[in-house]
Amino acid sequence: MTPSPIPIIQMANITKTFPNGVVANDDISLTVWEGTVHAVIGENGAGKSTLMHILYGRYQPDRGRIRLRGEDVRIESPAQAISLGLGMVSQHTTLIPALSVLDNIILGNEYAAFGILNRAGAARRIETLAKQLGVELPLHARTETLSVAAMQKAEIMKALYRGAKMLILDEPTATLAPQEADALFRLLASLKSSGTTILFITHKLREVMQHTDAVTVLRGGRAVGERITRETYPEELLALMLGQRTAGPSVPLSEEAAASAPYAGIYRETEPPETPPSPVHPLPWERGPQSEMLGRPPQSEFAPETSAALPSASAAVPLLEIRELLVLNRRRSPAVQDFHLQVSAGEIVGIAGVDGSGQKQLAEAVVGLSPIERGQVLLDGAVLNGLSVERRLQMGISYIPEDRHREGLILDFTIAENLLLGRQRDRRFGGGWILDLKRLAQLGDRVVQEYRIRAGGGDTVAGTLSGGNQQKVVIARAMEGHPRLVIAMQPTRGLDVGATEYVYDTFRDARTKGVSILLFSLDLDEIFALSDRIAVMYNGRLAGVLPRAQATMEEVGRLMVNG
Amino acid sequence: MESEGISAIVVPLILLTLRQTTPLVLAGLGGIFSERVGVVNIALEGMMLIGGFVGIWVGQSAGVLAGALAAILSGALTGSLHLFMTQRLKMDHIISGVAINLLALNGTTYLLRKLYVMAEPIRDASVPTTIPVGYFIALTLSLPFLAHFVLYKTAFGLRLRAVGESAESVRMAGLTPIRLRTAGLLISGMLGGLAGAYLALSQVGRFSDDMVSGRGFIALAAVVCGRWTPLGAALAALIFGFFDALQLQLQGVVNIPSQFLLMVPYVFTILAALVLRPTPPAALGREEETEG
Repeated sequence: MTPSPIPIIQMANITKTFPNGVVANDDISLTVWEGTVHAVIGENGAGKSTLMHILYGRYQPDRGRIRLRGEDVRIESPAQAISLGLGMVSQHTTLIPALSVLDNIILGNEYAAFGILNRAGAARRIETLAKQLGVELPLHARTETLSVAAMQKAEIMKALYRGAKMLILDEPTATLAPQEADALFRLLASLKSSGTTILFITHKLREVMQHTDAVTVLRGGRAVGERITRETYPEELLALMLGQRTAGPSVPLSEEAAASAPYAGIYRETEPPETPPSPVHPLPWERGPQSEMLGRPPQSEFAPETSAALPSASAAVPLLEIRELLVLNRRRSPAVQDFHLQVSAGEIVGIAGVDGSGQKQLAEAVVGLSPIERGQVLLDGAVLNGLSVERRLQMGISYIPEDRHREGLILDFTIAENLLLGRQRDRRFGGGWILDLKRLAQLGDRVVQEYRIRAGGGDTVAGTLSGGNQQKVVIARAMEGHPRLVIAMQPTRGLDVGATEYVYDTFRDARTKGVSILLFSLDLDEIFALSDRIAVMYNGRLAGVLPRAQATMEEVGRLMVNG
Repeated sequence: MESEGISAIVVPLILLTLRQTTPLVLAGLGGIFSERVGVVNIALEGMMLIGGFVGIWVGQSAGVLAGALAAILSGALTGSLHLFMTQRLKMDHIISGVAINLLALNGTTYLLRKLYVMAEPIRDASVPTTIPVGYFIALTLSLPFLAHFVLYKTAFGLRLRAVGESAESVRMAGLTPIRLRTAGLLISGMLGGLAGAYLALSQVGRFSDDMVSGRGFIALAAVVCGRWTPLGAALAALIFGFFDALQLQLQGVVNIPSQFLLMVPYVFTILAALVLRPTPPAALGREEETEG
């Protein structure tokens, strides 16, 4: 399919900074040709959604211009976007569950005479449109009774009913089963053949390769590449998405490996991993409350070590065992399935995978935040299924959540109060029925010192700290609980090089003390820098487990993309 | 003989029921138009008080119909105040409602003394003629159907209901949520003011301290029991009105403490909440998400 030579959407130098200081879009330009299917891809936080919401008038850019069919336009509201022929299907449905499908479709553009709705007339019009596209919709059903796929069809019909010629879809397949996604793409193809231009967001490369004409890659708020789909290949797109990460304490590029890699300069081979010493000394939780502190993590530069032996935690029972795990997402479709994994004491297992492959649900199932539908999670041979989060914390699991602002910290609380969260019944931390404020203050001050948190003391309010120091509080809390197993979700996301290195040192130090870490990261360099073994998730399943010594970035990347 | 005896009891009871139901239906519909656009409205009580006071005040010099009109306008103004506090100042809806109720109660009590310079009893805050109760009963019997039609059969009503479910969806559909909320609150206030006008200008022809005495809250209970629908709320109001009338009729006749019958609406509401599990509009009382 040759794209017709008319640029229908042109966005130039779009910049958007949110009030909280996050630069979501940084000088992004994007051109979409009429009658094509165009994908915008990138990792979480790359700025895809923001860009689409700017196009639809939901957000206003700080800078930049938008042209539709060659004419400069200012799109100040969705109403204006609609009148310009744009339609949008949001990631989370904007259909109102309590209304009928018909009412949702006509809302704001009602078919009415003297203000009185002509529902029959509207239904006929929609049915005609639907028939042309081969779509079936229960127009009179309450929207909340529909499946996600059906809701999406309704959203598309809503846009088309308003005469949309350009359709924006924000991660349309994120919540669909594969067959449903196929049906969606068939619908999009028939829309395309009737002249509609389609712009959709995804991070699934397979969809890009199979269903688009062109693709724009975003990373960190910038556009880093625009390709004609048939002139590119998944590995190139993945490389663009992940970027050549230079930040972080990863070891230098081995020239040999770089030269032999097919996309030299994109993938870097790292040094073999260090050897974690066996946990011969008493495990942290077995020691007294005052002596168990992890101490100051080593200040020395991380020196790459040799040999790739696994920690010799020779216990017959692995510390963590996950058996045939099935976890459902909120839509009750599988987010994690047939997943199995074992983690030994003193082992760091990195979980790699494209964003949204089920990492969050897997982590939450272990911690106890998501219910386990089928299968088992065992800690040291004890079944965790059904146990409360509190109980699991007591058993030695600690959690570093992905979003430190929403899940990790209460920003209005002090550092010391944040450290107490989840351990408020533990007297060693100053908890109990009545808070032991003195002990809590001591804990706060000590943690501030030991973890080198840039703050006046434990009574500093968490919200006033920088991102890196906030993350140190989250990590300190996880480590202070004498954990046996740390579930770390993207522990260095948004941190600078120094803070990242600090986190790595803390993890390595914990490993030498026999602590196991399940490390979820979207950053392959991070996975490679820390892991003893690397497990790859694809579509909620385990695509493979590789010992660090034998793993290459290419292979892990391939598993991430193709399963 | 026998049938005469029954009708001697039943007919006054029916009439009294209608009289007691009227303010509940009017205010209840007011509650629906506010809550259906997503604004919690416990300010109905205050709207009725202000409406009643203004109705009498204007009614004394300009006639009772002008008084009723003024009451409606005062309700719209009170509704605007609630709108301003909840939408512009992002104040909690309950707190704004309580503030309006306290303002209305103490303000009217104060003004009654100030304007009518008198102690006991409050004779002069009255109008010489009253609006026939029949007018209001006619409204009570017809307005629920009209409100039902507006909410479910017109484009305007669809939009009002939509904004109470999700302002964000409404915005994405190309509409302006705040305009719809303004419309809902103005209608709500007008109905609340009208309910107050009924109490002051029609039922007794006089304004006295705290004369609404909780009817605004009972009306809100009717809204909840009626699942936020005009016809359902009207039915609930009718049931409450009936028990209120029964309570009045039985006073001195039967030995049930009147307080028990006064509790009926609230007991009924709790039962309805248990049995019907009414779901409020999804965006009720919630602040709209803004950019970022």
